[in-house]
Amino acid sequence: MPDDIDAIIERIVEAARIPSRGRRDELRRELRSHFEETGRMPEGLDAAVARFGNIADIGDSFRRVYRRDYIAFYVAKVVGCAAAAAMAAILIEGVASLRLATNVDAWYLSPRFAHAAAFGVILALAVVVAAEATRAPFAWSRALFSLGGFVIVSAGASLLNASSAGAIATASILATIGIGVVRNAMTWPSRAALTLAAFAAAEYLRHQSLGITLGPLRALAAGSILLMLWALTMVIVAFADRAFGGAFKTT
Amino acid sequence: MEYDREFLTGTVGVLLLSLLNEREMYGYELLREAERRSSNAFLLKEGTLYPALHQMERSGLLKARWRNSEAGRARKYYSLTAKGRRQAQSKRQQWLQISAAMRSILGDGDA
Repeated sequence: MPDDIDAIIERIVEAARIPSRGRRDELRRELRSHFEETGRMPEGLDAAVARFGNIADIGDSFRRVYRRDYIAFYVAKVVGCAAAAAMAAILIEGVASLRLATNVDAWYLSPRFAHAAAFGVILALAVVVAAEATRAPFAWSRALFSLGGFVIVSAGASLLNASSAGAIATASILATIGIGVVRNAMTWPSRAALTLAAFAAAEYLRHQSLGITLGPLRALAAGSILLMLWALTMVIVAFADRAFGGAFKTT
Repeated sequence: MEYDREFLTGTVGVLLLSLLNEREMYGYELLREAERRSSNAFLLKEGTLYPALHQMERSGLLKARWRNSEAGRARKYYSLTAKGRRQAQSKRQQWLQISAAMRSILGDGDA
């Protein structure tokens, strides 16, 4: 099989965006079998290629055929990513809430762990949503799907616990700040410093509005925990993106 | 002859179901059979055929299997499922009724 035919087949298979490797191999095999067949005809392979049609259009047609599989795979990626980020948030907040009871020499969880973990989970979900919604190249369908999912989860959480509405609003603001800083700051150290400052300020203001005294150092510590949570969530998002993109690679 | 695409929309499915209702065929065989029987009036593009076959397979109208030809060449053969046979029958009926109605409007001499 000539290289240009193999390249045409690969372009079609890649454009089809079929999540299953088995199905991609099957399509590749079928197209190769077709060109082997047509190449033996008197008109030859060039005529067969010309007759095949516009490669981009064919790729689009196959993409439409396998669109449902692609969407299911994408939803699974976002849900998996959100679940991993939520678990990471609980872990971080758990470690941050560990206290040592010196009188019995044992570790215990701070009474505020449940509240902190719930807020951490909401923030992690908000970061996943913000990353999906603003992913380049921007797509309205993806942004609306992400935001719609977050609104549904938030509405469910608010129904279960009316006081969570404030936490959801704060987490949404923090996620927007975090993503906004990452998109606009130049270097990683400046991104981290700006995000930390923004998170610490937000924590300080949030506690002030609730009438809770939070000194600058404690605000910085609270901001550091959120920064860690945000950074780990972004790592999870990047890892999921790489795995998702890799699933469609044909070579 | 170049046909108006509007006329051809929907014909690919009827054509494939009708041909596969007779026997199992592979992609290139379907193309050649459509050309031969229509005296080259239907020159299907492969780029139209293969996505249509995959769509019909996913819809449960067709099933496919790999089989070696007598020359030892592996080919993917398509055949109708029970659902596909029912669909073929229904489409055929509809098509015959529509074409009969059109003939009676246009007149046999002009059709």
